[in-house]
Amino acid sequence: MPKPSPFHERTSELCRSLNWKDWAGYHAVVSYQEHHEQEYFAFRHAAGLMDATPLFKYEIKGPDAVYLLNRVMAKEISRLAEGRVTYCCWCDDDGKVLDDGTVSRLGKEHFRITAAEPFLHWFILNSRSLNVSIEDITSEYGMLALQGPLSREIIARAAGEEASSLGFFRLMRGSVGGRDVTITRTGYTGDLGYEIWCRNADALAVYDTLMDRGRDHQLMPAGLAALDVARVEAGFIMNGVDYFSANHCLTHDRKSTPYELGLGWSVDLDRENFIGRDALKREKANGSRWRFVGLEYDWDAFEAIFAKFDLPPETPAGAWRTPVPVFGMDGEQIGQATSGAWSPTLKKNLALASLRSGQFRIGERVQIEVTAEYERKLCPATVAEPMFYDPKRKRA
Amino acid sequence: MNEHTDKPRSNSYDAVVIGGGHNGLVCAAYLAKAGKKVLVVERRQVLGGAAVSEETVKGFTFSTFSYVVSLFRPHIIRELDLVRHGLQIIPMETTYNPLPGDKGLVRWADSGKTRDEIARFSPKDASLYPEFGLAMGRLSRFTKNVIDTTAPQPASLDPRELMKMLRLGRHLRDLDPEMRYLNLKLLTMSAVDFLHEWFESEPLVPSMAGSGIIGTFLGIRSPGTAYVLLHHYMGEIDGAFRAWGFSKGGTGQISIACANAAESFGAEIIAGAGVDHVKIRNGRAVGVVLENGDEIKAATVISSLDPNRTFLKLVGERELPGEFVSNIRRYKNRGSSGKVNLALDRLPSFRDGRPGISHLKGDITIAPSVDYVERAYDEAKYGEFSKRPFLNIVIPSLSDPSVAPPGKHVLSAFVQYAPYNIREGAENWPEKRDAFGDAVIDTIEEFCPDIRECIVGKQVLSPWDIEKITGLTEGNIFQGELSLEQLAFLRPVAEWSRYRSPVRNLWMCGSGTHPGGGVMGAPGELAAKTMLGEGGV
Amino acid sequence: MASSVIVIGGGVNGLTAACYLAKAGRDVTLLCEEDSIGGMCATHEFHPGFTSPGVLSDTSMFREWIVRDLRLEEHGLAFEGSSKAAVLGKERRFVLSDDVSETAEEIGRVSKADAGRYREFAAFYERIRPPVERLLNNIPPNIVDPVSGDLLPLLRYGLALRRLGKKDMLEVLRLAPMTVYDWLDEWFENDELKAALALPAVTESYAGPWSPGTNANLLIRRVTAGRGFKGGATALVEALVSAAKGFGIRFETGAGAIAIRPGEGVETTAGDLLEAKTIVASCGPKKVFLEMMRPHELSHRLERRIVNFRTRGLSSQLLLAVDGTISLPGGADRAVIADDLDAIEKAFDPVKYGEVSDSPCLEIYLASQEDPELAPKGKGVVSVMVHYTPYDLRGGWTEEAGEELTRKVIRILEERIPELRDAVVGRKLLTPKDIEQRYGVSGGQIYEGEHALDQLLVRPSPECAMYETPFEGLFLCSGGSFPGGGLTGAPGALAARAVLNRRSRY
Repeated sequence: MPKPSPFHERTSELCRSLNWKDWAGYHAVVSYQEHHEQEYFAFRHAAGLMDATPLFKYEIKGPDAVYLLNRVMAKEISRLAEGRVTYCCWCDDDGKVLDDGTVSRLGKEHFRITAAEPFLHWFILNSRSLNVSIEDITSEYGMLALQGPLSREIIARAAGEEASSLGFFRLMRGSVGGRDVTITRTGYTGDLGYEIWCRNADALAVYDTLMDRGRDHQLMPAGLAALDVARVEAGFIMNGVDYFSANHCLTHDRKSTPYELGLGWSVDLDRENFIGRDALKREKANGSRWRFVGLEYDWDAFEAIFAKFDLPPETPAGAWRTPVPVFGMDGEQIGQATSGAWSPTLKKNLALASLRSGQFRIGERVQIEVTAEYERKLCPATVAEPMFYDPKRKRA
Repeated sequence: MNEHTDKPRSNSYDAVVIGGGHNGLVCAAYLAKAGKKVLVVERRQVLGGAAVSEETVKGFTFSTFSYVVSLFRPHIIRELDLVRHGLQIIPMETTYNPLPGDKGLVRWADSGKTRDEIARFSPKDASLYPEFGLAMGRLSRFTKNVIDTTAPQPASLDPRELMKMLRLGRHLRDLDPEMRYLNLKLLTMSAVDFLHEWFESEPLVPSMAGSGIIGTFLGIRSPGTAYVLLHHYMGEIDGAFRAWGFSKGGTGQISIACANAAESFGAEIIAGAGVDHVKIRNGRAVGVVLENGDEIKAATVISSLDPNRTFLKLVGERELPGEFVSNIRRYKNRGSSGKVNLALDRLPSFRDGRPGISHLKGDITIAPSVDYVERAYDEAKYGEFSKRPFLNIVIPSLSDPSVAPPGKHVLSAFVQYAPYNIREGAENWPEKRDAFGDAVIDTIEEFCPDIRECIVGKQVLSPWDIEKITGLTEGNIFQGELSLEQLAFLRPVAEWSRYRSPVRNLWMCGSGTHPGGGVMGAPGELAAKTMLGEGGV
Repeated sequence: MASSVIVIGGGVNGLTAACYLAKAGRDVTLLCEEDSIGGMCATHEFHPGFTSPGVLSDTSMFREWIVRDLRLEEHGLAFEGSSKAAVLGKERRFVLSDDVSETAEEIGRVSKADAGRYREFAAFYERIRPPVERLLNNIPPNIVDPVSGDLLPLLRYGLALRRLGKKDMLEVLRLAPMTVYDWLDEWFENDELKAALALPAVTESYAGPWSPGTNANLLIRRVTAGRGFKGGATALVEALVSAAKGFGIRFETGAGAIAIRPGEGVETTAGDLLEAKTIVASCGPKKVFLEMMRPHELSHRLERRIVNFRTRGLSSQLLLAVDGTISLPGGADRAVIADDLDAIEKAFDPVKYGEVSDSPCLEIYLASQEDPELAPKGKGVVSVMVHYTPYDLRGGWTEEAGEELTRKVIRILEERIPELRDAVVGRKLLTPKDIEQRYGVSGGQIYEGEHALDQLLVRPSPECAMYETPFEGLFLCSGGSFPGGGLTGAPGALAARAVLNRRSRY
């Protein structure tokens, strides 16, 4: 049975739907209300507060912390300045992605890492003979995601003006409700947002303060279902959905490289050896097998498929993550869509997909499988860069 | 199931199977299914050999010897329709390793819960644990290919054999290099050394390593014990929910289901009829002679007994080539384990402060440290039973209430080590039996202080008793040790690993043949299929 | 001036590799501090006037073909007439030698049956020698990641094995994974004989005779053992050094290697960078990868594999300076004290718990009988290998712990070799920790890695099992490579062959 997060006392009170799931061993709210739509719109129009505690959190400290992270991460962490956060991935020796997450540099020799899956062993095993301490702080810290266009106002009221001027991918130490917190300007919704780390003992006070300061800005508790729609719109990949950690794949073909996942920008090749470098160099030179893309269903065609059965178009009620085959216009399978959602904001039916490189171009049309009245149909869709929604305020 | 008499209906059969253990019955069922006239001859009144359930204490059903179902081949369940014949397997969920003065370690089906449990001892191990399972799962795909076919014959020039080796080679090739390396390590390393490449924490390593020594006369630090770790992961790829489980009604229910299946295909079974010897005429088996003097003719005789018993007792040296006899003599059968079955008035209370009983429903391993288990072995090497043994305990009544009266329980403790050849000589086991039983109960008492108050009946079985009751030579539960030199094309001996024997028309189908012991059913099935394929019956 | 090859380490394997490379025309520099020439055979004064032989002293496994290839006899190396080891039993003593009839006769004094069995036993190994030798004297096949080219040698081994005939072939396959206990038990009845035969098969493994796989060690030993050299290991090293000089090898003896920069060269303790495209390291794999390279240079996989390469030292060496001469039955210069197989197992048992047995098994070597220069006239040096002693002794190898072990050993020695009583004038114990320090071998493991089945064909790891490493121009040639430790010369010779096979590049 999963365990409660330090915010559980509050979230369980608020969760009227009883719609929970097991997220990395924690009880996590899927949606507070029967349908997640309001929570989604809070992310997009006001602000939502999500309990992100179940993310694995590791603290790495010591004189060799930078050396270790340079060795493990595909990104050159020695270039990350203090007070900054970066998003990156780490790979195995074959350059296949193990996981992705954020690295925060709290001090010269002090880092925090988030991960979707347990990777403590990976950092420990790669720290032989290094002067560094590696600690799993997942169960010591609570983490809240405050996301949405009004989150700046709310963070300002909760943590002071300094917090409101925090730049994109920066971090600061501050206080919320008199409790010490670390605030990072990061998030997984593709909108303006903050993530707040606090000690377990401070969790409820921090939660109450945020909810209180947010009340006038229509802050709502939001669950994973709303997040999932938002992240599809933003084109963020998810470990275990859009790709699988190389250590958990039964076959080599299932593994993915950063280039194949659209994370090539986060790979720093021209530096001292790091885990996976040689393989990634080869791939960079020879090209990747797959490419991660966005797909926009052709609405008229979609509608027509259902119209044939005298049905209105059945858009998915929430984000989906059951893979669906994708074909070229000639009918040959060229890949798979791994997740998708109807975007209530964009009014578009969207999917994230991995397609074989060379078999399509951005802007071209492909076909995606749609099931209507128990029958499999192909619906044309346009290939796009995987970022459907990207408001300026996110970075500003 | 019909009551079995000791008189066969006929005096001539296509095949007589000696021994009504699960392998003998599986073999008979496959032969009968193929239309052969088959008779199974069992010495005891109860069928099942080492897979029996007996009401040793009134109201309590003990799985006297074999107590869990590990690798019973799912395709046998399908092909013999065993569920229709009464088989039902209840999966075991947890593995619990109690520790003195601590909550101990429970590994659950739930990965998050297991991670938290392991993290109490080593956060690193907790984080790495799922990867280990995955690697083992991948490897067991290869092992499955090995146990589900007859052993390859590397010395043979038969093109079919070469093809087969090639096929296995291909399976091996399809593994990636990392997996091949792991496979090599798994086959040759000790469970402890192998696990130490992954894990560091005390209760986790001995708790996992314990499965590597069951039924062997080896310690967890002995090379060759890593291989059995795989077995825990094989159930998953078989499509079963868990690798290990209880047979509803006790392990004997497997044998009963096999017997029912065999009878439904027309096989005949007699019980209470021991075989005195195999009748051999001109180097050819022609039937069996029972202990009561009755003679049964058969075109083919199949022994599911262990090789030692089959050849040295039922066939006799004079009928066999000298070299074969000396090979059978050096075939190792050292019994190393005993069994203590307890009828309990109530559930004993573990001193672990854990609420509820869900952690007790699976397998409970008394292996608090690597040294503890290794010391148990060190004692046994020199002819003593372990004073503080490694125990594998199950309380099947928690999952299957049919084996005990309401509110009462059955506890089965598999004990290692109890060497057959104690210093005083095996025949002196009866005098040692009580002390042995006490050592086991003392050990349990350290974790369950009230165990003695709960006991209303007990059965203590030394390897000597196991031999006496089941006929297994030296009480070896696998009909011969599962060491590398006694596996595959070397089981039971080189050149005779294909169920045939030097005596024409005499075949083997017990655990002493490939792929070996455990309640797998595979030797019986493969023997039957080989015989049918080669016109042996 | 940059040379084309640097060989790190001047032990038997380093010297052998260097000689082969120089003989093939390479410009070779051998980097080794002066007092480390000879590696684990290097001598040192352990008591005023008394010099110790190295921790490795048995030259009977050194490959004859290397002697021929390098013309070591022209450099003064000569084979002994015979190699003899006395078994010092509780009551009886007998001598085992490389002469089968002589040995059988000796055994006959303790067991008539065993005498006959021994002839069969020796004949069996003689029969199966060709395929096993073939395997041991070649670059091992890549069994973990065979590319098509490697399948051919594998097939050839298979065929060579088949040529033995069905019976012997199956017997070889059967015996390798066995325990040496069960195997010898199948052959012999006399306890001391079994123990004496078993001891060398188990001493550098984390294993007793009850451990599966130990029989493979016995197999290798029986198949490769021959006669040793006159003058022992010292003579072997001298001949190799002389041959090396003859081949024009440069000896860089002012400093040792401290860091390896693959493709560039070797950094020395003196702070210099010796440049070379090709580096052949005769130090153990752990030292090469985990000490002489920085972690980030290694892949995760290689690092884990090398970390997991098991190098638990299990033996100590007790050096004795004695007044007068000690002699062994039959004029042997070696002797074994291990009363039966269980005694060896019992000597091993405590190691698992970080302890030392009260009755360790001993291999005795009358070093000064073979090399009189080690001791002043009329005096002698005895080297005793003590099995088993854990590297990680519970409580650590304190002075008292060493003293206690020394007392135990001397008590046993005095009981079995009465002449030793009152003759010992000086002594020094090298525990596994001391051996690690003195000779720079990880874990004090004198074979540079335990001899276990999984560490034999794939030694030390799949990517390095054929002497090449994932690093351009870096090769391994210590006992931590195939076919393992001891004074065989084989890893050195085969590593050189691997370098030369890559002619185009190195």
